[in-house]
Parts: sequence; C-alpha cells; structure tokens
Amino acid sequence: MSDKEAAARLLRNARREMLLILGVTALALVWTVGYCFLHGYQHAPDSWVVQSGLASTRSAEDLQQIAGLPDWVFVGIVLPWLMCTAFSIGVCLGLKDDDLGKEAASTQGAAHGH
Amino acid sequence: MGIELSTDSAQVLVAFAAYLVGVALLGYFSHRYLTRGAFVNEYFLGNRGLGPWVLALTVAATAISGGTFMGFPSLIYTNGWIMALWIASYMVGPLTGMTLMGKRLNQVSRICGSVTVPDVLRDRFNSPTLGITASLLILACLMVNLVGQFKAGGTVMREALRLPPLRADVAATEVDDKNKELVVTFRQDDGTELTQRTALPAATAVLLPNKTEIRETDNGPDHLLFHFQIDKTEAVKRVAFPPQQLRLPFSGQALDKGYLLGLIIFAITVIGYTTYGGFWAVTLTDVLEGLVMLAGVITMAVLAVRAVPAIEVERSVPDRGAGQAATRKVELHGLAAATEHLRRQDPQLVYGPGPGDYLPLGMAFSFFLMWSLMSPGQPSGMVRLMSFKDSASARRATMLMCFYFAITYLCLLAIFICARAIFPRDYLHEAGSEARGEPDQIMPAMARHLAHPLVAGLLLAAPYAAIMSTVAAFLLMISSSLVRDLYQRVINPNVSERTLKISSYVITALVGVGVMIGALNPPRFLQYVIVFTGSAMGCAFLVPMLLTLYWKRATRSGILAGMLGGFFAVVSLYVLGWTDSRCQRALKEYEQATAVAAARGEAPPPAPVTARWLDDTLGWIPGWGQERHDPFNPIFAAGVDTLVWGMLASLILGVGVSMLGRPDAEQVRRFFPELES
Repeated sequence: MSDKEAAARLLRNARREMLLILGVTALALVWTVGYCFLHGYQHAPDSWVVQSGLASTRSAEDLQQIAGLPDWVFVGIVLPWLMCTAFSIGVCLGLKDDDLGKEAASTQGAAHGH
Repeated sequence: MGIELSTDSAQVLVAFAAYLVGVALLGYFSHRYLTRGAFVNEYFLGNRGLGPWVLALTVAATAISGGTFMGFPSLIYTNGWIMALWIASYMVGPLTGMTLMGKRLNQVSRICGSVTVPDVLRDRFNSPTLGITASLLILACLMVNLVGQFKAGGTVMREALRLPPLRADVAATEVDDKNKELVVTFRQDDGTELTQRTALPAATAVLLPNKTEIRETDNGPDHLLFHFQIDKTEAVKRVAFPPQQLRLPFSGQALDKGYLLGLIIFAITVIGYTTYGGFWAVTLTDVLEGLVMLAGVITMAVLAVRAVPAIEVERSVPDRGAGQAATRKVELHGLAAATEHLRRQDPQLVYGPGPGDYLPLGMAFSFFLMWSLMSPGQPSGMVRLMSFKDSASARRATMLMCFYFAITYLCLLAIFICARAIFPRDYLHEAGSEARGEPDQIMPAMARHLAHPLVAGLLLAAPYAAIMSTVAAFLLMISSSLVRDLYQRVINPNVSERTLKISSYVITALVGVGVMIGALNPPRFLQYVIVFTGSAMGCAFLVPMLLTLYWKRATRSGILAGMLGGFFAVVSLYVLGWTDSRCQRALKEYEQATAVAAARGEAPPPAPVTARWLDDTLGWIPGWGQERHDPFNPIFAAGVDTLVWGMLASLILGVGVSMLGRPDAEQVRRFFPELES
C-alpha cells in the first residue's frame, strides 16, 4: 500500500470512528440524563413530567437500593457506564491499526539540529 | 525560627518524601532521553514515542486535576448521590479523549512535523496569524490556571506539614449576623490582633455562651470548639488558632507560614523535574502519579466502606406460610448502610436535583458535555495525542483508560458518600456550613480518620500527584508556546539548537517561578477564573480542531472565527454575569435606601442611573436578573452552562465563515488524500 493510500485509509477510518463516538456520546447522554431526571429527581405532583405520566413523585420511603446504590444511580449511571466500558473495549479490539505516516522534517530546520 | 512539626505530621511527611524522591528520580532519568535526537521534538513532544501504558496514564493524570481530589470530594459530601450524575460522562471519557481525534491529530502533526497545538493549526492552514492567536490564548488561560494549581499544591502540602498554630489568646468573639459568620479575634503576646472569620454552621444557628472549649495538642492550643443551637439540636463549630505568619521582606505582607513552605516545596519539585527532564519527565512522573492516585482511591474506598457504622432497617419479606408480606429487621453494612444513613439525614442527598436545587436538568446536561467534550478540547490533552508512537498504542491506551476512569471516579463517589455517613452533619457544621457547604477539607480529614499516618501520607499524596501532573503539563505547554510557537517560529526561525535548549530550560523555570510568586497571595475570585479558563479553552479549541482535522472545506478565517467566537462567547457570559450582579445589587440597595428615606421623611437618594440603564437595555437576555449566590457566577442563559453557548458559537462561526471563503486547494490535497479505489 502506498503512503498516500495509507493516509487516505486512516482519514476514512478516523472519520467513521469520530462519528461513531459522537453517536455513542449522544446516546449515553440521553440515557443517563434522561433516566436520572425521570426516575432520580423529586418532582412536584403538579409538574409536567408527573402529569404526563413520565415520572412519579419520589419520597424518602420510596428509595430502593441495588448493590448499595439508589436504584436510579444503578440503572441510570452504573449500568450505562458498564455498557460504555464494554463497548469501548469492543471497539478498541475491533479497530484496525492504521499507519500514522512518517515524521516530516520540522518546518524549522533548527528544531532538528541543522 | 525553626520549624516545629507534630509526630503525626512527621509520619505523613515521610510518606510524602518517599513519593517526592520517586518523582525526582524519574526527572533525573528522563533528562537522559533529551540527548537522543532533535531537542525541541524530544523536550516538548517526547519524539512521538509514547506506548500504551504511559499514554493512558499521562492522558488520565493530566485530565484529573487537584479539583478531582479536593473540590469534587467536598461536593459529594455536601450534595450526596446526585454527584454521580454530575460526573457520569466520564463513562465516554476514554473514547472522546483518545479516539475522537487521536489518530487523525497524530497523523496531521506528522505530516507537517508539528510539535505543539498552535503548530498544527498554523501548518494545516499555512497561517502564522492562526498559530500566534492560538499561542496567545493558551498562554493567557494556562498562566491564570497555573496560579490556582500552585495554590492547591501549597494548600495540600500545608495540610501534610501541619505546622503548629500561632501562640495567642482569644481577645473577643462575636457573631456577624449580616454575613452569617463567627468572628474570633486573637491577640498575640506583642499585642497584635488577628481575626478569624468562619461561616456559622447554619443560618439559624445561635451561639451558646460560656460553652466554648479550647483543645490542645503537644504544641499548645490548637483550636476552639464553639457550641451552637440549631433548632432543637446542638452543633459544634471548630475554629483553628491562626496559622504562624511570615512577613515578606519587601512588601511587608504577612503570609501563612505553612502555606508558604508548602508552596515552596511544591514549586521546587515540580519546576525542577519539568525543567530538567522536559516531556519525558512529565509523562513518566504522570505514570507514577497515576499509579499513586489509583492505589490511593482503591485503598481509601476499601477503608471507607468498612468504616461506615452499620444500620438497622425494616424490610418486608414474603411470609410463605401466611402468604402475606411480613417485616423483618435487617442490618445494613458498607455502601448500603451509607446510602441509608444519607436517606435518613436528608432525602435530598439520595435524589436529584440535590440539596439547594444543586443540579437542575439544564446543568446536568451541561456537565455531561463538559466532562466528555471539554477534556479532549484542552490543548494539554491534544499534545499527548500527538505523541503516541502507533495506532495500536492508542487503542490499548483507550482500554486502560476505561478501567482507570471507572475505578477512580466510582471509588471517589463511594468514599465520600461513606464520609457523609461517617461524619454526618457534624463535620459540615464543624468545618463548614450548611449554606456554603464544606471547604476542601473532607479529603484530608477522611485520609487521617481512616488510616495510619504513614498510609494517610500516601493517600494525601494522591491529590498532590494530581495537581503536580496537571501543573507539569501546563508548564511545558506555556514554555513550548513561548519558545517554539513565538520565539522560534515568529521571531528567530534560524535559532541554533544550543540557544533553543538554553531558552527552553530558562523559560520553563522562569514561568514556574513567576507563577509561584503569583500564588503567594492569589485573589479571592481565582477559582472562578480557573473554571472560566477551562471552559474558554475547550470552547476555543475543540470545534476548530475537529473542523481542522476532518472537514476539508474549513478555511483559516473560519477556524480563526470559531476559535475567537468560542472564547469570547464564554468571556461575554462571565462579564454579563458580573455586570448583572452589580446592577441588581445597586438597584436593591437603592430600593432599600429609598424606603428608609421615605420612612424618615427625607429626600430619596440619587438613582443608580447606569445600573437602571443597563438593566433596561440588557434585561431581555435569558438568565438576566436571576439570583446568583456569587457575583462572579456567569449568566446561565436558558439554564445551561456557558460551555454550551461557547461551543455553539464556535461551531456556527467556524462553519459559517468557512462557507464564505474557499479553502487552499494545495493544503486540501496535502492533508486530505483520496482513496484511489
């Protein structure tokens, strides 16, 4: 493979990875912030989220624990965190290595001791 | 005058000293690398030789700053479980920090032989203006930030040293109702008086006279305990005797001797190894620092979970015989017990948005973006991405970082949730206040509570390590901006290798000393400037760098507009916030003065014309006129943080202005090769 082709391949792969990562970040944001807001926040009974049935009012007595954590922390944060970690490792194992190219002579000769 | 240390401090210092010796040795060995090849490339970039372990730990250690170990624990202790949501976006941190632009940035920097971030921008668009602008932005933001980091370093070291306080008597005690503070005046033997102001434990707290106790250590009186009545309960407030003072020779200014000594030790170590060893010293010590932090949080998490007092709860269990549910008492331990303690203390500690509406939806959204996207947007992180040796190193480093971030942040959460269970409100009352939270003391307090002083010393070294790694990275960034970006590339392109070498050493050391002087007596609003500079740099560099790397249509004018747009959007919101606070205060004071004058039958005071004009003119801005706890808080337009608006401005201007022009065809061919098939 020529240097130019290797560079073009890296650009294509890096672009795809960037879009994938931005997508995963958006998904994690919606899950984490969305779930925690709906299930981990104390809402007033007349708030729109309660009125629309998306969330319930939560009192101190309602708190459930999963593995010592409040239920909303486990489902809204720890679970997606574990999934993101698994996904990151999967992505890293699945990614192909690209040739980063050769180091060009620095723009300034002095930097290389000329 | 000699320095008196308590036994406890001596043991803590032994642990600290062991750590510092390790750092110094790494600095010494790193210097050997500098003789291998091109000096600038080696000193500022490590000759692109980072492998996965060093890369992972250096990126992680640079991202984790003093705030992670000082401010964050204090926030968890004060606000409870909602802080899990506050920090949650570190779940994608390794991906965004490493893979979002790592490979491509490394490739582009190799294509043009770039050593610094301004180098990349300058060479990609062949624009000295872009390079100089980027350098100036980095210089301005990092210098201010460094002052704050030095201050944090000196503070942690002061905590480790724990010099005995000043010998003085209590001259007077009074409660300042307006500011909700306890004011204690101490008198030294020579008649000099010193005043300690401490927040009241709660707004409704009433001082109980004649119940004040003086607590002594081997070195004499150490602190006072004041008793307060809060509603029906009694709380204790701890007020330390004033620290030993030292007068500066020229200005005559009095400084806390422990802080000064801590600052000097911190500065000598960090300036020394960074100057002498360059990039390799910084990254190799990052590895040591990263491991110290990891060991520190894991040890502390285990000890903290074990130290939580057990608690009994009633649980309903199905009764198989009767077919109905019955209640049974169950004893909870560890994290489950801590969560139950928090629920009983205050339900807001186990639910959002947290005490005092701490994290409303808009801010939860903002913080998710802040930690996931601001870290990759920092130039200090970008330099690390330019320095790995191959893409396999980046892949493996990402995997390591996943474990590193998950362990560090989840352990920190567990430790300080347990801290709140171990020291309920008492500690908040004793050291801070309900209204203002707890100052950055909970981390050292937990370290000393949980472990033997020798182990506590190592635990205390974790925040010290975090601060050190951030400082070293920033110091090198500033030095590279001055030596490489401004001197070599603008002023004297034909500078000799020898001159470059000497100027790199001298500039790094001088910047360090200059910042240390700035940290001797930093301004009160420094912490806000630090938060501001982090957001401003992220907004100035993230979107422009992504466009630079991935969008062939980007032009130099577009990138310049994006950079300045992101930066000034954040600056504007801070300036508007400060203006708004001043206006609202002036208008409120005018209203009160008018009411008083009317009651007395006097003429009304002169109206605040400027404040009224500003309020009328700028009142349309979303967030204007909202009550803010601190005058330095920015305007949170539409309830979201400044970084959201900064990134939007950067994106709109970067894309919009690029669309108005045409990119340089030759540069596009050079940096965006097409696949032949």
